[in-house]
Amino acid sequence: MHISSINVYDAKNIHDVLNLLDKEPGRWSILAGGTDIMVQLDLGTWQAPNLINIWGISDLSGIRINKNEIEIGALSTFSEIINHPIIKKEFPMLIEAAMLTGSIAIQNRGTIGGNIMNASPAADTPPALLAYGAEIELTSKNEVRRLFYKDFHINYKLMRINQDEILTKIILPRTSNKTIDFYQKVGTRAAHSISKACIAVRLTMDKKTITDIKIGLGAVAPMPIRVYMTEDLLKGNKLSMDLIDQAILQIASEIHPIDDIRSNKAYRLRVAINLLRNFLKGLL
Amino acid sequence: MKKFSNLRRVEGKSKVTGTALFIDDLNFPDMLHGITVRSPVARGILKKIHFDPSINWNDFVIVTAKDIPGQNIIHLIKEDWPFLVGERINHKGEAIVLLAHHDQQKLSEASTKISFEIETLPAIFTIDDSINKKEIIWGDDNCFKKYYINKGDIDLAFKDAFHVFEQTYRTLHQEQLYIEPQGAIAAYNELEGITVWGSLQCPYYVHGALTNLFNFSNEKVRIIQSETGGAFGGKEDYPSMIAGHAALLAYKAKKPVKLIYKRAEDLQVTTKRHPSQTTIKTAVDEGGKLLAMDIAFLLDGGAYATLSEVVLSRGTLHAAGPYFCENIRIKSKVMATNSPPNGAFRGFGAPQSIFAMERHLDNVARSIGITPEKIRTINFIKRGQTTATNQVLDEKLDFDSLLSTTLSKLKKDTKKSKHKHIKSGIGIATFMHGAGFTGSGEKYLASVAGIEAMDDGKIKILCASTEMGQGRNTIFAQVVSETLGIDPHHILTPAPDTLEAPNSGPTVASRTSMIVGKLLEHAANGLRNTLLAAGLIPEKYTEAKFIQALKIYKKKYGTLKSFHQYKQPEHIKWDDQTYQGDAYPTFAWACYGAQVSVNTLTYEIKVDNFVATQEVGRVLNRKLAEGQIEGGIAQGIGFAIFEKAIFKDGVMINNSFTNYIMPTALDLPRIHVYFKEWNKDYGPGGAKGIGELPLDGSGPAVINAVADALNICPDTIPYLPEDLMNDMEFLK
Ligand SMILES: Cc1cc2nc3c(=O)[nH]c(=O)nc-3n(C[C@H](O)[C@H](O)[C@H](O)COP(=O)(O)OP(=O)(O)OC[C@H]3O[C@@H](n4cnc5c(N)ncnc54)[C@H](O)[C@@H]3O)c2cc1C
Repeated sequence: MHISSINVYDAKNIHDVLNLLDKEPGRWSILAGGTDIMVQLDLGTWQAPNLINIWGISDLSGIRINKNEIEIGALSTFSEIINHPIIKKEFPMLIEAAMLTGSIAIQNRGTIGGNIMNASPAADTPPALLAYGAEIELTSKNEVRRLFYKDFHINYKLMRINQDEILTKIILPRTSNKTIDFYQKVGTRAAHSISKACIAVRLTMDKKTITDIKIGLGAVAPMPIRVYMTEDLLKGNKLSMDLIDQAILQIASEIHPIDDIRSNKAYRLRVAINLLRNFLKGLL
Repeated sequence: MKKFSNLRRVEGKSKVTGTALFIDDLNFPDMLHGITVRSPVARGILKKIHFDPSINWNDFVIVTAKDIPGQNIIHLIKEDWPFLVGERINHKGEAIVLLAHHDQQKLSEASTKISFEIETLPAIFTIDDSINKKEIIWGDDNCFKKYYINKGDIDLAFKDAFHVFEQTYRTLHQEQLYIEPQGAIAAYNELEGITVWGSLQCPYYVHGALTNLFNFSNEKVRIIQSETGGAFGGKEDYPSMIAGHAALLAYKAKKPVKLIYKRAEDLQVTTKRHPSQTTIKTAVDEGGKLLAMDIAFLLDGGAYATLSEVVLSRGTLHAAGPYFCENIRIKSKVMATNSPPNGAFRGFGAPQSIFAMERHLDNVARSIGITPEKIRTINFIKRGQTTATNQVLDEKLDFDSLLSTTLSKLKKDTKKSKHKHIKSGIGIATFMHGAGFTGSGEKYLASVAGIEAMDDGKIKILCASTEMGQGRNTIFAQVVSETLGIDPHHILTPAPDTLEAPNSGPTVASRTSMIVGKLLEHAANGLRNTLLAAGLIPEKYTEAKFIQALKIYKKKYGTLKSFHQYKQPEHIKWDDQTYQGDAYPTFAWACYGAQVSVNTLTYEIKVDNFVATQEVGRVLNRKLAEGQIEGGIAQGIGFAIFEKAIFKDGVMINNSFTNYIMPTALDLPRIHVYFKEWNKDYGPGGAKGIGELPLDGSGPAVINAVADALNICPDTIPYLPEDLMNDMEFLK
């Protein structure tokens, strides 16, 4: 689709957006920072002619700190997240993911909501959100509902969102437990880079026993995924070389990377394994 | 003489502030836009063009091969490259139909409504298939050109050699990635003929191509360079194609037509660096002295000959490296395949053959148990010794000094890393780069450049050499002002316009400062002598006096111009038949070193430190020279470990900035640049060429460092993490 055939409606506030989505569900798509849409328009792969521009709607951005959780407006930019002191302290993997996204110009314009909704399997914040057990808030004219982010992506670019809904918030559960985080993006270069593999792990340990673990991965499946079986295998067990080897065997059968223009299956698998193994070995 | 070696970039401000006008910034009244409709197959015979009746084609200007008034051949070296497909299709993306319309959206829609009836023929895409004549796609044997160089008695030398080592090395395509995609605007009227504005390197190449295309006399074609943001060889031959297309449309439309490629289109259809395959067999004695070198150098030329034979020539002449050896044989060929023609790219074949030689020397050193420094020290050519073509090198050559400068910045904190999974290594490469055209090239060109005094006392430079980010404007202003003893702001450096600029040759081969700069130095001296002879200035004069003299002369005699034509020095002897003699008037010499760390978990390679030491004669302008070296190294690092063009059906399919990975500033190391200024007998004030040099050695230095870090032997670049992983698995 050529840019000249795009029709953009500038929404004044969230009600405006919800009314339009309610009135003509399926007709409208959301334009946030536009950093993904712009590229797809240029490539001619963008298909939706009618856009609701939500840039600047203050109800949709902003970061709120509650006692047990942090609410991040879907329209928050990477830069806003990077500069938030409490996120920096409690959710450093999200900061790291944001800082490794594109470059400064992209970070100033791209939003976390757009990152989730574009649903690229290689997006960089989703693995961190998965490892943190994030929830998301979806809003329509008639309903506000919450969903665990881990249940949101069903398959390649397929999500549990209705045509009259918009993603409004990302919610991160706070914890007072001592946690260990590990995040690594392996891209094609140091900036402006699409992940070839990305891993995020948050765990808690009691002595050498892993009491809780969540592992989020990018670019190794048609969507950002958790590896529940690998997590289960590690959870409740005392960390040992033997356990690590089992976990590696498990994760190798749980992820399904592909060959594409940026990398290949063998490399993605090997890197995911190497990174997890090396991280766990460091905890021995 | 006052020096202006700190002169800032003449056009720097306009580029930084955005007032510089690139081709897509230019617009003309009633201008149409053009688009190209291309072949969907790699090889075949075009039977029919089908125009979908749902479009009102009367609205469009349509051009096919049938509309060509002159010759449907881009005039270059071998006359084989058509502007538009007549019957035979030789690569995917070859232009068949041109359309113009004032509405760009209508244009792009209409372009999808043209289809072709094609009898598809089997295509070939590799050097091996081409050599093995799997299909004959060009001439009798698919070979555009071959060279043979022989020195000494190679077979005898191999006979009882202490150690013989043979290996094959490969390099793949590399894209130039100039700032703006290819583009041209053409206008036509009966009186003046065709005028083209374009983003281009060589105005007279385009001029020659268009006079043939239209069968016009020289005066009826005028080429004007628009601001060109980097070209790297990519705008040497291809602008003839796109300018020709714009001109054909403008000629038929009788209106100006602008034709600008989208980046994705540009990446798919324009020229790239030739992929190469080099097999080197060497014999050495116990100490590592080279006794014999047998080199087979092969290039993939793509579907048409374009500049391939000249690229092959330079690659061949650099294949033996800067080493002395009594017995050398080099056989080289450039082969046809069904992909868009490969063309000029900074280094012009030399980075390919030098990569092979520099990897090979490390392999030989390792297999006989000496260091990479040692094998180079033993074999580096010395004053009075001969190259592969039996050229006697009669200039100062001090390899030890190049090597020690490089090593002094390289040895620091290597092989020490906090993390067990990070391995560090260092690598060096030593090499030379022939300055100016090969052999008799400059003699045949017989370039002319000059200067002209203006009424206001300014001096205008007249030559066809182009600014493309490399500093032509600045260097020329500097050379002329230094020669005349006036401030550089008196010098005007307009972009070439063939209406007034004489043919000073193409802007290629690192020749602009050295050759054309020297012509301008002569021309400036000529102009001063004219004023002296007219008694308007004394031997010693002030700037004010000089400017006043210019004005008086102009008033009195009308014009004041001074030109100079290149004459090859008598002592340069070259035989094109045997490929023997003085291959280049002089060489630049260099030793580069890289320090890398390799992550054995992710297989990522990071270049941590880079040292570039070179001898380039007089450094005319330090900032510009450093910029050339640093930029060239960045491009060389890209060539070595980032930039992989993925091809399918003979065309690049990762044709975007997202997926063709050029390094960013964050991927590059600190680059230390050192100049030695030993020999000052050549260009203006003694300068030699430097533009291409840095691309030659940066790739092998990096890969040698990777090999050192992990004890592996990479033989193909680009060498990506995926390749490194495979090599490491193989080791296990
Ligand atoms: C040069 C460059 C580099 C990049 N590098 C990275 C990188 O390193 N890592 C990475 O992960 N991404 C990268 N991206 C992709 C992009 O920047 C991110 O995905 C970004 O988060 C998209 O956010 P946006 O606001 O710009 O989304 P938009 O382009 O506005 O929208 C993207 C999609 O999300 C939908 N959408 C947006 N907001 C909402 C909402 N609130 N509710 C429902 N639907 C919504 C839109 O309809 C659209 O389908 C890069 C992009 C560019 C151009």
